[in-house]
Amino acid sequence: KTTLHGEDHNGEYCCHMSMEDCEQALTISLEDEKSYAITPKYLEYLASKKLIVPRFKSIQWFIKCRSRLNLCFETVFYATNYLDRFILSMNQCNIEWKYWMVELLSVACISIASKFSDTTTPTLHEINLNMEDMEHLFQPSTIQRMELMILQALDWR
Amino acid sequence: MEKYKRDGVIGKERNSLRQIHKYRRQGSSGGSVVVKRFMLQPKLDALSTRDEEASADPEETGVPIKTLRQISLLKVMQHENIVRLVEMNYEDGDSLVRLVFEYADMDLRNFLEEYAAKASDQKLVKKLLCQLLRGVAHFHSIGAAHGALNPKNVLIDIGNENLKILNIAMDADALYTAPELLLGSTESSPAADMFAVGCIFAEMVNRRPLFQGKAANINNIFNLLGTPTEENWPGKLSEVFPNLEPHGLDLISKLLCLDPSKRIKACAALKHDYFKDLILLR
Repeated sequence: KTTLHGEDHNGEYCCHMSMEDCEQALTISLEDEKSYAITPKYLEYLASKKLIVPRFKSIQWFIKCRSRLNLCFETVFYATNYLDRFILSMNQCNIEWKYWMVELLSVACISIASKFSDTTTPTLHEINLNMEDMEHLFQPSTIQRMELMILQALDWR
Repeated sequence: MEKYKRDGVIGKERNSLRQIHKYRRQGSSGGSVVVKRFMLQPKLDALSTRDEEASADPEETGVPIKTLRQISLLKVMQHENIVRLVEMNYEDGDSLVRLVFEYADMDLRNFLEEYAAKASDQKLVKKLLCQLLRGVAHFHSIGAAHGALNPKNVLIDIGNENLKILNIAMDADALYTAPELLLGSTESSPAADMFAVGCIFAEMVNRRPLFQGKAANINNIFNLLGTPTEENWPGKLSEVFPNLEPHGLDLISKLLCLDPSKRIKACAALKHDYFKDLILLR
């Protein structure tokens, strides 16, 4: 039996796990991963709503924002995942996507992502300012309302 | 909230004056639930400024980080020995969310008092401790710590003898607080949870709290466990637990280990010889 060393976030707690435990944990994680993945019909939806280019721009903002505000790389991946899952969750209600909506959504997504993965979180204003080629500047209260909409749509997961 | 009727106080929220109530479900379904409120858009009235949620300036960072992480954690936490989240209700134009958790028949404190005969069965103690450790091990496996384990938030279903841990950021009880926290360390940790498990185990064995008094202080702990020299301290434990089998005594001494880095981990405790003769129906 091989034993592995697992460390938690503060690096103090370690736990001996058997190989079987590890394999089981990995299987569960991969299974979980599926529930956060997007479906093939997402691409169709993006195309039908002309969102492919705006989505591409959003991801560029995320990457720029990460380096300017010194955020961690996970934040970019989480933000993109939230953005995709939120847009997908909207495919039932027939909304007309406007460009400012994607901008607002992007600011809120990176704010939420940063709260989960960074040790120091930038303020909403900082995020908005650092997405400099954005056309709109949003009120913090508006961004917060958007955060809540996203969290509810994603069921806080 | 019309579906529920208030049915007693079960504790106080951490860093807040707000009390946590138990509710009885109305209608045919019956059963009790616990409700935890989270402020999502803190209001600037006198009451809410005392809450920790409100202190993190909403205009600056949006939905408070703590709230976000707590709710997300509660959502992903699914284990047979951890209390289940039943529903989420948004209120006041979404500025407030109420999380509704299932409650069991009673908490461990009441169980030990009201079912003294049943609770004195050492086989049942073993079965309950095993379930407690499984729940705690689940917390620790996802990098979280409970932070306030005590017999008031360990719940028991009498019929099937199931145990579930309630995790809603309640005030910690000083009687179950690990010595390193009493000495000034402020972070709750998996190791501190294990000390609390040790205190709860001791309470189940003797059917009274291990450390007593208005507030447990470091003197009470050192009186029992000795000042921190490793040679002298396990001596007294066998006097305190005359009816406990040797394996149980060994486990309790490892749970109450003064040095948090040497204290037994939840997953290791589950493999302890004390549980060797336990057959759990899963």
